Amino acid sequence: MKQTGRFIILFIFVAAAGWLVWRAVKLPSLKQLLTAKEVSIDETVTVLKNIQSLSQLSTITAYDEIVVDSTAAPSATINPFVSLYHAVDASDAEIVLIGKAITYCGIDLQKLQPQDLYLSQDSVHLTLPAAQILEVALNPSDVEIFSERGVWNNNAMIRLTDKIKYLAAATAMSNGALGQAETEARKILTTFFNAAGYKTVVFEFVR
Amino acid sequence: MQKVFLLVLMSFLWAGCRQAKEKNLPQTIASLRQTGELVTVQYTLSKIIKANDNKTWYKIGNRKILMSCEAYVKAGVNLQGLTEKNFVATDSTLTVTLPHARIFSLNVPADKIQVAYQEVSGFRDPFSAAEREALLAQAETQLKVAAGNMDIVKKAEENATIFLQSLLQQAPYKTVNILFAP
Repeated sequence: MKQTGRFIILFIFVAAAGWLVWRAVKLPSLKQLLTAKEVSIDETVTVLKNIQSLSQLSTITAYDEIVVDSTAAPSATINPFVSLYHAVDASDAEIVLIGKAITYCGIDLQKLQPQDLYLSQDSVHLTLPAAQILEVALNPSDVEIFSERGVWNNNAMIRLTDKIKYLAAATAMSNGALGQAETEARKILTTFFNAAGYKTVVFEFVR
Repeated sequence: MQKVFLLVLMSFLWAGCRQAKEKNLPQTIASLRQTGELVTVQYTLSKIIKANDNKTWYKIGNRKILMSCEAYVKAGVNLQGLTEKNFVATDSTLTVTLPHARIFSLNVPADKIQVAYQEVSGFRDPFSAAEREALLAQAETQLKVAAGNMDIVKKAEENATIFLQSLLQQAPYKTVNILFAP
């Protein structure tokens, strides 16, 4: 009985000491110990490869969120241990991506020739190239992998992101983004030349 | 007999709980926004991405990956909101005050991303697509910071000056000055 009492007191003392040390030293909790550490990339040098001069008037930006999915050939891509304990049809590799693409539409003013611009005392006549899709951007931070089964290499990801970009461009065009880009370009350039003192501004778009 | 019946019943319940996979996933409607950016410069940046996954004590083995990527950064001047107040004209001189240039877009195209090397040891799996994308998202952040520290804005303003002078330096203005104000 005495020994049991001594044991209990010793246990309480050790537990209290351990708790005080844990509070003082801020030891990690059990959850922190069992949570996988995030993988961070090393800080590496960013190299400037090229500088290119542009003259693009970007007048419409289209935002789109697109979902694509793909399935691949069975069994060779699936970890055999996974297929055993999942006890499901693990014969298909599948991936579902959600991509937030940005489509930039506008006029490429680098195509302007000297004969396309005529300025007189108070009027401007400008022949502009037709509006076009200048760029479709889909960055890694805008790609969410909603579901992934099997092994998907980099080439497969390139094909899927290219599909998202193609769909984004097609959606922008079907929503009339190019027509709106020309309308906005007309507005901006008219305001610009009017403010510069030209009373009459005439535009023509080359098709 | 009872055990067999229970097993069969559980199999039916389990099969019934499985949901069919949705194959035809619809798109959402795009939203359009009006901008008025005169983009005058594009910088092409390249970066090597190194990652070493060996920090989790209970995962036996190590894995490393080496990737490379490129990014296209565009900068330009916003022409929206320009009014007569931005233009001061004399007989033959026009002075235009524009807002300062800014970085307009950053594009990290997937076809410029390459996995150069991957090493997996122990009981580890290769990097999944989701894990690679997470590493690339970190590289994208570093590229944004690096682009901000370069002189892309200054270069954009220089190019905008050259372009607008060539556009406006006709009758009646012989001299066109381009200034930038905040």
